[in-house]
Amino acid sequence: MDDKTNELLERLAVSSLEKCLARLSKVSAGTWRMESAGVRRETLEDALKRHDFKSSGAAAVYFNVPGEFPFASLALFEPDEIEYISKCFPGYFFSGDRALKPSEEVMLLELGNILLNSVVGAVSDGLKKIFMPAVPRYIQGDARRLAGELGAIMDLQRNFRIITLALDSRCGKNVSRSEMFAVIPEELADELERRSHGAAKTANIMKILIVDDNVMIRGMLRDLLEQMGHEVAGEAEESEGAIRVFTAVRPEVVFLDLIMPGKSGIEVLEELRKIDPGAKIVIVTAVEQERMDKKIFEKGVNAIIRKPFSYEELEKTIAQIM
Amino acid sequence: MDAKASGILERLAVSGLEKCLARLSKVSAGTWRITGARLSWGTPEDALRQHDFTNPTAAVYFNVKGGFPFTLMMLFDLNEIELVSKCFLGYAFPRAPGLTQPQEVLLLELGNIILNSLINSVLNALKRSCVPPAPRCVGGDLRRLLEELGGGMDLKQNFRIITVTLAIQCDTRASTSEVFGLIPEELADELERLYKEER
Repeated sequence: MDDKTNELLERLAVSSLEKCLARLSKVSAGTWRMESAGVRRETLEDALKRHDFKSSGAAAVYFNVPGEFPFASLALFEPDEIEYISKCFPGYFFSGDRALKPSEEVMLLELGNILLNSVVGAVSDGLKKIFMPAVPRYIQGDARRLAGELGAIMDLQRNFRIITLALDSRCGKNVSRSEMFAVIPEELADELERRSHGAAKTANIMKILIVDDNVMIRGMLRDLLEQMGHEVAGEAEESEGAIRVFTAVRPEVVFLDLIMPGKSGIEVLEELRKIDPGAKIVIVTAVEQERMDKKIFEKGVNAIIRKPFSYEELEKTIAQIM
Repeated sequence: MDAKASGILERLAVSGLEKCLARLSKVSAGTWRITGARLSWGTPEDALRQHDFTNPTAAVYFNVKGGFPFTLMMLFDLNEIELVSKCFLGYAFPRAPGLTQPQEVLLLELGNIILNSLINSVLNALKRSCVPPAPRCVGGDLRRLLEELGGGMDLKQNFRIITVTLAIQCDTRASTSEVFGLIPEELADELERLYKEER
């Protein structure tokens, strides 16, 4: 059980951080890469003891994420390597003084914010919930100084699942190494495990066609449906494309917009029904008119989901038609 | 202007929008609420003049056809696009000198959601239904917006004008946007008649 939970935590954190580093490598001056990842059940104090604190201590950025399952995340940078880090991130050198200046703190706060939010993203993906982390905080010092500061937001003697992620940033010949810790309480780890187990158990992969004239809605629906494990077999932005793709891919489910240029969703629905009376059709719309709902259901629609909708509402709609 | 019919219009507009904004606040990153609603009488130009065109503006509008046609429009200050996109999608679109395609796609969907709540209110009150034509988006000043509206309506005609101001907030930043409903007299009369009948 322990190993499985640790594997899940590592997988979630690694996949989210890798995406974040790929993005950072694309938009910043440096190349960002993960060196190693691991999960242990230990106290934060023990995790910090494993970090190599040089004489200048570490520059730490951290935040806690409040909510039903609070957790915390911490990034440690080497003050001695501020020149290399800054060359990679904003793209120009900050000085190499050991006592960091406010501008350097601001830079590290922003970099830490970006990196630590990847951990928040991992937990958010696992729980299918959106979190709003507290404002990140900055502190420089040795293990004792950090523990003193962090002790104000968490119990340092308590055992957590601690995900440790080591990464390096490279710009030219210069390389700097940083370390991140995600401090996950047991209750949150259990909930993530439960959710992942439930998702695997109920997985019933469906072949889906999305018909919406708005590219943003198509993209968002695709992301959410793929996250749920379904296969988005095609997209169309208007009636003719919808009929063409529907005939070609024969999806099990169609997510169909009602308001589109040219033929409306109702007309498309009538044509799809002629081709395949058994296909499941979900209307995705901001239209919420009593008589329209009646008309749509009479034409054989399986469900209606109103815009804007949440992940949970989409999940519920799919469960309803399965 | 008939005060009773106007009262009904305001109630319909506010109740439809309140429900929609509560839903938006629940599922998006921002907080959306109504800060004011008022009724006036005049031409489309009179309606749009209520907006401050100092900053670049974009409008999303619907021309609802049928037995009782009416027009709805939502105006956005393009200098606030970062905040609006942050509130709606959770991440900020960059500002640009004019209306960009991604901004247009975003505003069309947001306008679609918000304006449809008003269309739903009016059509449910009329006990009718229709699939509105696709919304349209246009960027520009007062003249450009009127040109665009003129393609689908008589700009000299007087309407009941519903103006609803919305506050959009994310973190500590806030902005406003306006929704205009241009309601012909016949539609306002019919809504009043149905309201009396129900009572």
